Amino acid sequence: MIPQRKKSLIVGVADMIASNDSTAELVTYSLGSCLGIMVYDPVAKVGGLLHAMLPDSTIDSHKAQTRPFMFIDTGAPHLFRTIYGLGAIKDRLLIRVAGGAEFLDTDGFFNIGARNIKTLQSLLQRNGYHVDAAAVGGRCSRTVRLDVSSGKCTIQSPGENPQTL
Amino acid sequence: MTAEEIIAKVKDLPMVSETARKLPGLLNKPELHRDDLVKTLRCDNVLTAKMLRVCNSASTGLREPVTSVDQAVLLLGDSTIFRIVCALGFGGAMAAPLPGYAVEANGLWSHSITTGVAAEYLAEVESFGGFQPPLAFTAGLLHDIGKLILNQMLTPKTRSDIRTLIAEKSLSRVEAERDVLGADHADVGAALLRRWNVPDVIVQAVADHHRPVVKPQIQLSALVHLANCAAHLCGSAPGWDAYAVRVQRDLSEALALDVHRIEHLLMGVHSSLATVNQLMTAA
Repeated sequence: MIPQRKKSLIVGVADMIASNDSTAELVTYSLGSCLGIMVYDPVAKVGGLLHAMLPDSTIDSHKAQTRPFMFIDTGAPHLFRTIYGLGAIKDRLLIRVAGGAEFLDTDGFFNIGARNIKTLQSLLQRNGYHVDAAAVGGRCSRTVRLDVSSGKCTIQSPGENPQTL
Repeated sequence: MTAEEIIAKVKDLPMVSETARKLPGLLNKPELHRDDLVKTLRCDNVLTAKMLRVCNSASTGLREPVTSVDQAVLLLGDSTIFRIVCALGFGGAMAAPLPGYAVEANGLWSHSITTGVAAEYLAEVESFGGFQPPLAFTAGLLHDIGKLILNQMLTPKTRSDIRTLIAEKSLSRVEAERDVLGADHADVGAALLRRWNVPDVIVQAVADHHRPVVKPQIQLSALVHLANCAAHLCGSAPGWDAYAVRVQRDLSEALALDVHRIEHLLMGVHSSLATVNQLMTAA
């Protein structure tokens, strides 16, 4: 039997999708300095993917309300709440993270990738989560896919072969 | 090899229509003139037809169909029509995949329009440098055009040498390209645009977009450099090692940028990017 191609649910920049549709894969393209956070409950078979652009929503309270997925500090809590709403349980969660690429910037003002990673780490630590796998930093952009039925997460940079995260 | 020698050596120069090549020249005057734009477009039925298709797509929100250049300019404005025809005019060549850079079809085009829109936003809304927005857009749109040429010089060996220099010596991509090939995509792009008689201010901005000039005053290259960084940070970073870009130290000082200012700029640029998708979907 020919395996059916998965239905791709595409997560844009500053967006999030959570799903329990076993025929779907969650995809986000070209994570550069942005951070992709993939969460998955292997028992409930529920997955979520957040593509956040900036670390901290306190710079714009209006945007924090209207575009919460733009920021790590508002997007990540939304992501967790949404997958809990679909039946996921905290203790079973697999958390994988990708992105956070950095420019060659000695002043560091443009290194939003590093600030995104730091903000997420501190948020997760404060709330008793740990990251199971990560592909962060460096100079490459990354496309990630999360298979909702299996929880398999693949990551691919331009010109490279896909790898399991 | 010099940039000129590389251009002479490669087989395929980008196929860009004569009308498209003339468009940047309309910015030689302090302001874009409607009559010049209309006159130029009247000579090119193909480009005009493509432009009208974009104008008549749902994204522009026009109630009545647009059927002529004059009507399009009247209803949507000179700058918008200029942006559309410039993006479309160079789009055919830029939409090609660039295997040497591991850029898929439409990847360079999308990044180029994104950078153009970001540059236009920085000029128009943030008033950086006092540049007219169509000029900022055009320089942003054309900043990486040299990759169409340099792509043909990137063999597995040269590409591997460049990537090794980036990984092991912390060079930027342009620094590594210069080391391995003798010229980088910015030099090559500028040389190509010079052949096409594109205005010097745009040629210089393309040449210097990875070494922006901010003294004694901010040049267009600084705006394009910032727009290119913003495009990357908003998710438009095609190809391998796309973040091997060196941010110039004096840029932040000259433009009074700090962490918070940059993040605010990114939110603004991100909001303006809906235009990119509209244009690419309708084209």
